[in-house]
Amino acid sequence: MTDIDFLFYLSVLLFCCGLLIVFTKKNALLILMGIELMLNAANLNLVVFNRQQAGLDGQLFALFVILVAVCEAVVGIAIILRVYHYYKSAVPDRVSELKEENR
Amino acid sequence: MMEQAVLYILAGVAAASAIAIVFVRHVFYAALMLLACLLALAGIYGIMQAGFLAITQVLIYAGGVLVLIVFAIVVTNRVAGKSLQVESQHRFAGFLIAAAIARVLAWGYHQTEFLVNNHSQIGKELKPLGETLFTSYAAPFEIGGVLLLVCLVGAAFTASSFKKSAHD
Repeated sequence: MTDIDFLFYLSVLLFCCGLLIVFTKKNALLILMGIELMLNAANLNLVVFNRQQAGLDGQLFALFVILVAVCEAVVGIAIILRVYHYYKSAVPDRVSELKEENR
Repeated sequence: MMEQAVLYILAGVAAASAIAIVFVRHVFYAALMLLACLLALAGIYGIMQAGFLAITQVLIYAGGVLVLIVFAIVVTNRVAGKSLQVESQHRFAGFLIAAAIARVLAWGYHQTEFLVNNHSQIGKELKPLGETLFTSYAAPFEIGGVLLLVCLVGAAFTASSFKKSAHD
């Protein structure tokens, strides 16, 4: 088993842990953490396979993935804070409606 | 050989902390585990000759995103005064789906033939990286800057002006 195989399986493990967190946890912040973990697993693959070729395209793609992940985390946390203030809960299942009822 | 040992240790830390996030019941501990995982991944990037990415990972993920997540944990758990425990649901189904996707990924990896030729570029990856970023990747770079600005404005607008609450 070479280093490449080993790091590929590490990345599979990280991705599946992230997926499991997104599926099972009942807290919006933990779901966000799971998404970050999945993005990092993809990044690890990009970096490892970049070493197999002459250019630096893999590293640049990983850089852009980090950029988009940061944007996603910022907007996600802003939405979670807003939803939390309205519903007093960070559990996504309890957030059943997006629009305010006319009372 | 030394490099190999460090690589295995870092990979073990990353894997252990990722598995720990699944099983830990406290949100704050989960954030700390994620921090450990991200720092170990930064070390792996360093060994894989992506020094700039390793530094970016430490600065942006460990320094930026994790601080933001910890702030969000503090804010969202202070208002209600509840404990930081997290419940899990659908454990068995989630595990089945994750295992199935792992199997598919491993199968796809074995089906593919990769060109294995080790291009060692120790110590000289930074200058080509900057040059590529500002020549052939200039347009994505600029669009990324605009995306960051839009995110900043959108997040500031979304998170500000709390007026209404369902429990008022």
